[in-house]
Formats: sequence, structure tokens, C-alpha cells
Amino acid sequence: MPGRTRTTKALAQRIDLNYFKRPHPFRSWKLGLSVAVPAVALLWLAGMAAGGSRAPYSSGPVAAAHQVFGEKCERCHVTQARAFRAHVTDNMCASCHDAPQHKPNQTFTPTCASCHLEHRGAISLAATSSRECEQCHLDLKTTTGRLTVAPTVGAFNDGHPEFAALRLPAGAASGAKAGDPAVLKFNHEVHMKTDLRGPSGPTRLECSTCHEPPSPGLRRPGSGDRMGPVTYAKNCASCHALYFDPLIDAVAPHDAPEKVHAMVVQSLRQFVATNPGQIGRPDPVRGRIAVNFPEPMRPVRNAAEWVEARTATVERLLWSKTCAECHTLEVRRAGLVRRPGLASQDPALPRVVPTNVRVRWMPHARFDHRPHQMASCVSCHAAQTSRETSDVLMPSIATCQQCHTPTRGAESRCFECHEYHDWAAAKPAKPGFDLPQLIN
Amino acid sequence: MLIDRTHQSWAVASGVALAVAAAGYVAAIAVSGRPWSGGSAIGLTYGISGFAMMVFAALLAARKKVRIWRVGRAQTWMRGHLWLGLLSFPVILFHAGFAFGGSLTSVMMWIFVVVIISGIAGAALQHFLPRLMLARVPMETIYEQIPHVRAQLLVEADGIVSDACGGMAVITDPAAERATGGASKLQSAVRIDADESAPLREFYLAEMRPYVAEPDSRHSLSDRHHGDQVFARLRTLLPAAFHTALSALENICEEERQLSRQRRMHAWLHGWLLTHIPLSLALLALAIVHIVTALRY
Repeated sequence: MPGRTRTTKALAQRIDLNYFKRPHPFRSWKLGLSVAVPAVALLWLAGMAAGGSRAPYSSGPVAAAHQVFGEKCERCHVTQARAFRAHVTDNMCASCHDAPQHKPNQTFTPTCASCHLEHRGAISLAATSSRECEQCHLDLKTTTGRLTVAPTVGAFNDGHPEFAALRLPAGAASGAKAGDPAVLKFNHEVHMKTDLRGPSGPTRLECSTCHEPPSPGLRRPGSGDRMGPVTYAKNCASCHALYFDPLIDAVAPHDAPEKVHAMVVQSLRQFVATNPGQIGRPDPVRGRIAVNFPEPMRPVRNAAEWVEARTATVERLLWSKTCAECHTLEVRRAGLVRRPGLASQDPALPRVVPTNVRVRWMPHARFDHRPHQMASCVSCHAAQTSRETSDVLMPSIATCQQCHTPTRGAESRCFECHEYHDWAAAKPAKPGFDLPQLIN
Repeated sequence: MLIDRTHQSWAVASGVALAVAAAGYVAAIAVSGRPWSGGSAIGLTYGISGFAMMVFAALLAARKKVRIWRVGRAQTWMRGHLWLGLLSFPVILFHAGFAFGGSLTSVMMWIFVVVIISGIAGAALQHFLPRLMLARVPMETIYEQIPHVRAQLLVEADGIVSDACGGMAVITDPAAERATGGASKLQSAVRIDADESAPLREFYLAEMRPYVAEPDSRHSLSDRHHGDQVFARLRTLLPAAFHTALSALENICEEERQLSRQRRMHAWLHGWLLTHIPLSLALLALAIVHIVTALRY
């Protein structure tokens, strides 16, 4: 018996030549799935559309502020008459947000949506790209031709000028430093000594002893983010009490010279009324304040003369030393001031030059100390080596750039410090919806 | 499809295109400084390019359906499908800025991921399996013909046994066999243990015929090693006159095993298409919807 032979002819004869005309499970499955799967995908969209939902077409979740609208895309995406496109227009934004323009003399106004990018999840829409600002500020032009800021401002780490308070005017001599315009004598270095003499013995001042950080829970735009003001009563009086006469256990008010003068005269009158034996008695030389410095009080005959002479002596010391310790006083030499009850030789009262202490160092930007509390004050402010009031202790932009750079994580986009919209010019938005329209 | 040196130009061109696209993406990100948007000019450029590649890849199916079209060689279409289809994925990722976006685009991206993975798996399988099949299934036949060939193998085996054992009335007509039960008919036509061919008939009826009639991977003869042992034992039991028939039956068992192997390998070789093709079509359908809605909103 011959064995099996697998010749080409024999193999060909085994083939059913009509096999491709009959359905085959693999081909059938392939065809069926090729129809069914796309159909299921389209049915999903059709089902969503039938339910009135356009959520599948959203390119991403809307910002938290807009999530109240849910899936009501038409709140913002309004189709113009006979138009296919339903892009969001500025008018739709303005129906809820009356955001003032940036500057009245700007040459270009971007659309709302070009800066405030929606459908990117629960992000802050105010966190805009710096590129939006740079499109004008890299080469700033205005309709009036007048600039109130630097003409070229790039990204914070690339092209942003030094802070205005630290910038020198054009043509300043080399080595010159920007100055603090305050008219006040204050030496930070002395006040930061470790063995400072305090009212109750040696003491050590911390920055926060005088500079009160904003309240952690207080976040009011405009003022809540600034340090509390330094005042004499709160921060200086405990050490720098305004004693004016060793005979009188009272301090002069930290006020205008006229009020100081009135208080001094009043105190001396009361004293001499209760201590008439003091008239004609020599002055004691004791205590911290030498009342008879630089010349002894002239001889007097009665209480009125005693008050007059004593006032002149006391005020000479006050104006020339006590007040002048911190303030600059202008002596009015043009005339004499005659006051009731005082001799005609009473000198005119001086004028205290306004201190002009800056409350806000960055008029075009905002800075909040609270997020920076993890860093020591002196790591940004060189107060320990500052002896002059004119020293500007605001840190340079380079200090900020150490952290505020894209590679270090701290925000470095413009919006972090600057605001585009001039909110001072904001007007209340005109309500365009009623509540059911918004939420249903 | 064998991925060999003939793919070199496609691979290089795709690599260069990918490098250019990546460089453009990185440069655009660096220059714009804005969050990426698929609707920006450069984002749209990537989207249009990626979609065009996807459409080209999908046209391979049309090219296969209408074989008489003379629009390029099938090999060229296949290589274009493979490389442009692969390239379309990173280009679409650039378009999307590596974000999956909303629910429609997320679904599309996940489908795209599955399509690309199944495509890569399929390309790898089609690279290796045909050569493996050539080595391990030398008796390969047309896949759709396997049931038909198997029916013929049963008829052939019945004939071999009938011829060897002499005048056995074996019913080989499949319909009649199903109606009457072929094995019982054959068993009743001969008297087992009556002659020296009894071991062959006994083996065939009890063991081999059920396997040839309904090949099952759990059957002992589906194991070649076991089969070799069985046939070696039969050769010792049977006179030399039956050895030719034994060899033929052994060959039929081997062909059955190879056809089973071919079925398994075919499932691997083409099974991924059941995922790749339907999802590709769904992706294209959703992409068209995405284009329309993106233009609108």
C-alpha cells in the first residue's frame, strides 16, 4: 500500500474553490465589530445629545468660578445669527464681569478669552500668561505717547527692570544709591543690637517688634497685605519717652509743637502753683535730661516769670535734642510769637518737617508678606547693616528672582504682582440673568 | 509584514518627521509662553497633520477592499499604514499638548492608545509569526479551508484503515456518517480480535478517529510525543504489511496537529485586528465629530 503523497496537485484538489463566498467567523466578527464599535461610539454621543448634554465636546473642566453653570455651555457659547461658530465673545464675559480696561491710553485690547483661558480645570482664570502682557510691554506704545512705566518690560526673570524704588535716575553718578525720601532719623543697625538698653534693662528688638506683619487671616485687597504702620506711640514711646523736665513726672505728647508747647506750659503752671517754693531755687542737675543745658535758667521773681523762663529752657532742650533725635525741625526765625501769659521774648515754635515715610514701596505692584513668612526678614532686608534713613531696605529684584523663577517653582508670571484691570474704575455689573436662568 | 531593511527609508523619514514635530512643539511652547492649545495655529497644524496620517492609515482598508485600484503598490500602502499610523500618535499628542481634555477627547485618546498598542503588537506578530509558522506548520493550508481539509482527512484515514484491514464497509459520506454514527458502523462491520489487523482497527476506532473527526487539544494524540509512542507501539504489534498504513495514519495525525497549530497561530496573527480595525474606525468617526465641534465651539 502506497504512503501519503502531498503533491501540489493533490493539495490543490483538496481546496474548495468557493470558500471565500461563504461567511467565515473571523471575517464575520471583523465586519460586525467594525460596524458595531463605531456605531456604539456615535450612539453614545447621540444619547448625550438627546439628553441635552454637550459635555462630551467640552475640551476640559471649566474654572471653579464657572462651575455653577454646570453643562450649560450656551451661557457663554452663544451662536450669532446664522453663524456656525459659537465662540465666546467679550460681550458674554462682560454680561457678568464689568472688568475695566487696563489703561485709557493703551493701543491694543486683547479679547478676554485670549488671556483668561477656560476649560483647563479648577485653576484661577486670573493666572494669565506673561506673554499676554509682554505683547505690549516689551515695546510699550501708548496712544498719547506718554509712559508712566518703563518702556521695555519683559518676563520677571528676563527683562523686568529693577524695582522703581531702587532705580537710579538717568545720569546718576556711578556708585550712587537710590535713597529713601523719608525725613526721619533712624538707624536700623543700632536698634538691632543685641544689648540694647530698654525701659526694663537690656533688651533685644526683633523686626516684628516694630513691623507688624499682616494678620494671617486678613486678606483685604489693597491694604491687608501690607505691614502695619510703625507709630511712635506703639513702637517708640516705651524707650523714647518724651520727658521734658525732671521736676515733672509727665511726658510731652508726640504731636505738633503747638500742642507740645501748650502741654509744657500747662504742666509747669500746675507745678509751680503747688510748689511755689521752687521759684528762685536753683535748678537741680540730675537725671537723663539736664534742664539747665546749655545755660542755666535766668533769675525769676514770680510764678509767671518762672513758667516763662522754665518753658524757654525746657523747649530749647525739646526742640534741639528730644524731638530732633528723630525729626527734622525748621525754626521760624522771621518773627516772635506772643502768647497770653508769656513774655514777648518767647521764640517762635519750630515746624516739624513731614516725615514722608513711604507706606507703599511698589505703587504699580502688590506684595504680600504673609506667603514669605518662612524666610527671615534680614535675608531679604539688609537692616542689620543700615545706619542711614536714606538706605532703601527694599530688596532688589535679584533677591526675588532667586525663588520666583520658573525653575524654582515660585510663581513668576506678571499677575503675581500686577493687575491688568484697573479695578479702581470698576462699575457694578448689570445683572443679565435671574437666578433660575443661572442654575437651571 | 516583515519589517526588514526595505523599511529603512520609511523609518528614517518617520524619525525625522517626529524629530521635526517634537522640535516644533518644544520651540512653540518656549516661544509662546502660553498654556498649549490645540486650537492655536501650531496646535491646529499638528491636529490636521495627525488626522491626515490617520486617514491615510485607514485608507489601507479601502485599498485592500478594492484590489483592482492601481494606486500604488500594496507594499507601499502597508508601509505607509505602519509608519504614518505610528507617527500620527505623537503628532496628535503634540496637538493635544499631552492632555486628554474633555470626555470626547479623552475617549478618543484612550481608543488611540489601544489602537496604537494593538497595531504595534500586530506588526510584531506579523513580523515573527509567519516565519515561525513556516517552520512549525509545513502542512499549512488556507485558513478558511481547515474544516474542509479536516473532513477530507477523516475520509482519507477511514479509507486507509479500510484498505489495510480489507473490505471494511466504512461509511465515509459525512452526512450518512453523522446519521448512523460512523464509528459504530465500522465497528459492526468487522470483528475485532478476529485477525492480526485488530490492534490497528482498535486503535483507529477508539483513539485516532475521534481525534481526526473532532480535533481537540486535550486529546492524547494532540501531543506529538504521545503520538510517536503510540505509533511506535503499534509498529511492534502489527506485521510489516501494515506499517505503510500506519505511517499514513501517523502523517494524518501530524497534519491534524499542524492544522490545530495553524489555527492557534492564525488567531494570534490576525486576532488583534478584531481590536485594531473596529477601534480605528470608531476613532475616525469620533475624530470627525471632534473636528466639527471644535470648529463650532
